[in-house]
Amino acid sequence: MNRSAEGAPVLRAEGLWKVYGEGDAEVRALRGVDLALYAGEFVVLLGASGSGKSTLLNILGGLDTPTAGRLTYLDHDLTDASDDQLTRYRREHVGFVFQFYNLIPSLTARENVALVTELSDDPLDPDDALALVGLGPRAEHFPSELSGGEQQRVAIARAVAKRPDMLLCDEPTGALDCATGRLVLTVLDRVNRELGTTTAIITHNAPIATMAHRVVTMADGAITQDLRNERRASPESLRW
Amino acid sequence: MVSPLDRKLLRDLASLKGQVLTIAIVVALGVAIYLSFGSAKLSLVQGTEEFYRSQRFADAFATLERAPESLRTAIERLPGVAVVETRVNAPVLCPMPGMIEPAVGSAHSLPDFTDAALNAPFVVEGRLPEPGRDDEVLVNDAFAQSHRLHAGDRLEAIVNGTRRTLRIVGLGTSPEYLIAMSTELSSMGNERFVVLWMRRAALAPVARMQGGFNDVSLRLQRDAPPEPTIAALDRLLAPFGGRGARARSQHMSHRMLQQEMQQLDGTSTVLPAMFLGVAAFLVNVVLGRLVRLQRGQLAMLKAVGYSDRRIALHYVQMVIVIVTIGVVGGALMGREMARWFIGLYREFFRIPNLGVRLDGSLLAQGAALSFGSGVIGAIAAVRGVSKLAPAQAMQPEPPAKYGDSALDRAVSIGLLSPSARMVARELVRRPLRLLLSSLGIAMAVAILVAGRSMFDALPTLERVIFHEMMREQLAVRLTRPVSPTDLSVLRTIPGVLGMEVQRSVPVRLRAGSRTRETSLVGHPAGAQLRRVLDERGREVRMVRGAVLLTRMLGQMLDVRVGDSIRVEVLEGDRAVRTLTVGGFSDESFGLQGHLLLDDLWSLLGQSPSVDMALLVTDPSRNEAIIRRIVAMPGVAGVASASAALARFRQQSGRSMGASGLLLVLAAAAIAAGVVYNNARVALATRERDLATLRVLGMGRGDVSRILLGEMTVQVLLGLAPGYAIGTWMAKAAMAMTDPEMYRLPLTLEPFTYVYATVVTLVAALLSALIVRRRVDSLDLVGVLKTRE
Ligand SMILES: Nc1ncnc2c1ncn2[C@@H]1O[C@H](COP(=O)(O)OP(=O)(O)OP(=O)(O)O)[C@@H](O)[C@H]1O
Ligand SMILES: [Mg+2]
Repeated sequence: MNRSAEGAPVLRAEGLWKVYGEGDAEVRALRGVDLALYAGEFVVLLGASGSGKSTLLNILGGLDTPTAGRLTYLDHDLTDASDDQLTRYRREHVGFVFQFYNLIPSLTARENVALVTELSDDPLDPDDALALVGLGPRAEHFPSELSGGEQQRVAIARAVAKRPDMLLCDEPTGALDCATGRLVLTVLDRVNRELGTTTAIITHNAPIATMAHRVVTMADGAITQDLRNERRASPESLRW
Repeated sequence: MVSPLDRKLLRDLASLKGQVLTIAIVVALGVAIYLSFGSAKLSLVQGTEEFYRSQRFADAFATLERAPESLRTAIERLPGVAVVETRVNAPVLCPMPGMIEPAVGSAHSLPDFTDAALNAPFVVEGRLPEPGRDDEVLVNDAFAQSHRLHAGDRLEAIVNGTRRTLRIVGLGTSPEYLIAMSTELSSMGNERFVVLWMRRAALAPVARMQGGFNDVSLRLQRDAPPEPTIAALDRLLAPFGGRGARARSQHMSHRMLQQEMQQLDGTSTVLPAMFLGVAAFLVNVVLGRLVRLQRGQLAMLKAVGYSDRRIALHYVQMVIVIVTIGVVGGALMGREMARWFIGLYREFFRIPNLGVRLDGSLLAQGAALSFGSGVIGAIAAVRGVSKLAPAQAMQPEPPAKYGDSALDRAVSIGLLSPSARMVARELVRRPLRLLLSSLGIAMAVAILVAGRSMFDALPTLERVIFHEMMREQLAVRLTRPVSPTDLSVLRTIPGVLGMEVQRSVPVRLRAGSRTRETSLVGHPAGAQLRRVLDERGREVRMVRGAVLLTRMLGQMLDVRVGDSIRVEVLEGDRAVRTLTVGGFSDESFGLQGHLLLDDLWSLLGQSPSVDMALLVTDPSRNEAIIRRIVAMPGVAGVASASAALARFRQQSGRSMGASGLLLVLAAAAIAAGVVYNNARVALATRERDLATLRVLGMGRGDVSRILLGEMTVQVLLGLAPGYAIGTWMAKAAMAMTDPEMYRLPLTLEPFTYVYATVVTLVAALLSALIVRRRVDSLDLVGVLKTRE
């Protein structure tokens, strides 16, 4: 059931460089990264702290621009995209989930989701999105009334509600305990299976990699390993 | 060695420089206004006091037809009298080159061989006339200045109907003429009002007053109440045509000065209070946010052993720096404004040595008020510091709570989009801030409305005075009453198309125990040129046997329509009659009574006489007509309505330009201070939310709208209260004017509100745009990477 090898990649990065600062303060966060994401794929990114995972993900998601290299989404070249073009790219194709849920405290769960569905042409109903993450009954609650895991699930609902082509998650379980984390991963897995959303997840918890189609490992700003899992573990079975 | 905490202070201030600056400007304006108005008042008070003392300004004044000089001893013997000065006064008319109308005014005598015991003119240039030199005069400097006259120049003057060529030997000013002003509106303006001082031996023959006097001033004994002396003087002068004595408090020039000072008092209290109140609020907003943002740092400081007091002091120091910048800037600005005010006053109030007096205590008060309000603003913000337990503060602040209040829920009901809901919830969440922000905006609007209200009255005033009340082209005043047939010669002047006459007499009106000296004006039946109007501009008809009173005068005498009123004529045979109050009139200037000429003549018990002719002319021939009239004997003055209108417009236009600009700047500073600081704080506290929205795919414009939506609501909510407060302030300012002198209509034009709105909105918009630039450059990755 490995779909990852089929067809052309959705997103392709070629020779990405990201350099912060100059002179003595120069930091090479990415040094020539090549990566392709395929439709429907579930990818886990592993790597030591500071290895450049977030930098890569942010560039893939159009939050940041590379210093050098090429980035193409389907047949769109995003390398020299303007801020407006990147905004449109994010709006139409990318869903983000962060370690810190970044919900808007002054909006209820449903309204946080509606914030996104308003911007897109063919969104899920906010209530369906919340149901997808198992939070249908909590739609009227404000973030301050939800647990961390629930907030993260709202964030996922918000990210998937516009039916993005890609879901990019930076340590989505980083702030959660293991049991709650499993719940969040189950939701992500379900989104990936039911909606076919290409999903990339950064994590420090190696066991999580067993649920992916593919595991990419980074070190010092470069990809050092790119492995396919023969068998995918179910998220419910994970322990870390 | 700079302590780390002080270094933090400097860095914090540097990163807050926009906010430091806007708050400091608001403080500076408060201080500047407090200082400049306070110092203007101080200059006026001290300058006047010194001037009154050195020139021996009298305590009581009276004019009369004529009394022998021997009466002086009787006056000296009146109770309470310390010094008596008798004078000869004569009406003066000066045809001036370059002016269509002649200047009008008075000549006063100076004692022949001594200095004036009272009301001595102060010589600004040249010297006093020498005894024995009949043609030498001292001229009031306001008049001389506006005609570029100096000692050595010649002056053609018609003194009491006699044409004289006089030699100016000096320019002077006197406490009687701090405001050199004619009692007639149509001859206002420095260039139109002339005062001459001549030795008595020179003036008396011209005035036909040899061996007599027609003007007396008194210095009262220390602590003597003026009323009994004035009453006694009235009785003594009555047989000699006394026109009613007045205390200094009734003296025109003195009164106008008092009024100006009262207004300065009001403005110098209200305006700075507004500015400092806004400053306190802004300090609170900015500091409150800083404390919240620096929770973790605070906790750390506490954990390593800094006391609450030291930490609170740290933030108070920040306020002190901000306020100090404001106070220093305000002091400098205040000094310049004080100079400017004094410059304006010099033109208006002829007080020599009217200098800028910057009092140290005034500055100290201004500074103390500013620091006080700054610290008050800081206290509430810093109070939370001590409540914070270090361990608790180290934790990130939990997500802001929403949903607790019914309001939060209520906001969900409407059809608002999620972004609109964000705005709405943010607003209802901090109702106090919303209230105070809107109040701040309201202040800005109010200052503009109240400021412009002064000018709103002008067009109405202009229409009422120049088009409805005074409809003649020329007004000719006579030195003494003549028979109407004698005046008909005016009708024969080529270019004169029509004429109406008037007669006015000084009277004392008495109703019950209330009395009031004023004048009665007799109008011909069916008069068309000068009409008596009520507040709605409708003509009040005059009927036989009835007198119409200025409404204010009626109130002072406590009479109603139909009441009887006793009229004591203060000239000629001093007849005493009873008339009925037939109605009230609403003229803007002065207090008087109006009645039919026939009634006035029968009141006087004399054959018909008139002392004023109102002419309808062919305007193109006015100049020649005036020249003819000035050459006639017995003419005290000629005024052209169109020239008066032009002067009126010129003067009001000039004061509008400068003060209008000042108002706009002041209001803009407040509006910008409120909007800019609120927006910056909102941006800082919600940077993360906004960045999230950007990540989710919202454009810059959408995100800015959410942030600035809040400011928009604050501004819009401030408008209506601003209109109300401004209208109230305009009313209060109007209430501070002396109603016996003039009563201006409070007509706030719709344009004033529009103007206030537009200025406020533009100021708010510009400050919002500055903040918007920051929203545009939000660092998406950086903001989201960490939990605050
Ligand atoms: N704005 C920046 N300025 C300078 N250096 C930066 C900046 N952002 C990231 N870096 C550096 O780039 C490198 C890669 O950072 P990145 O955040 O991508 O690491 P990461 O793999 O996500 O680490 P972690 O697992 O700790 O999140 C690090 O050395 C980091 O210090
Ligand atoms: Mg990272």
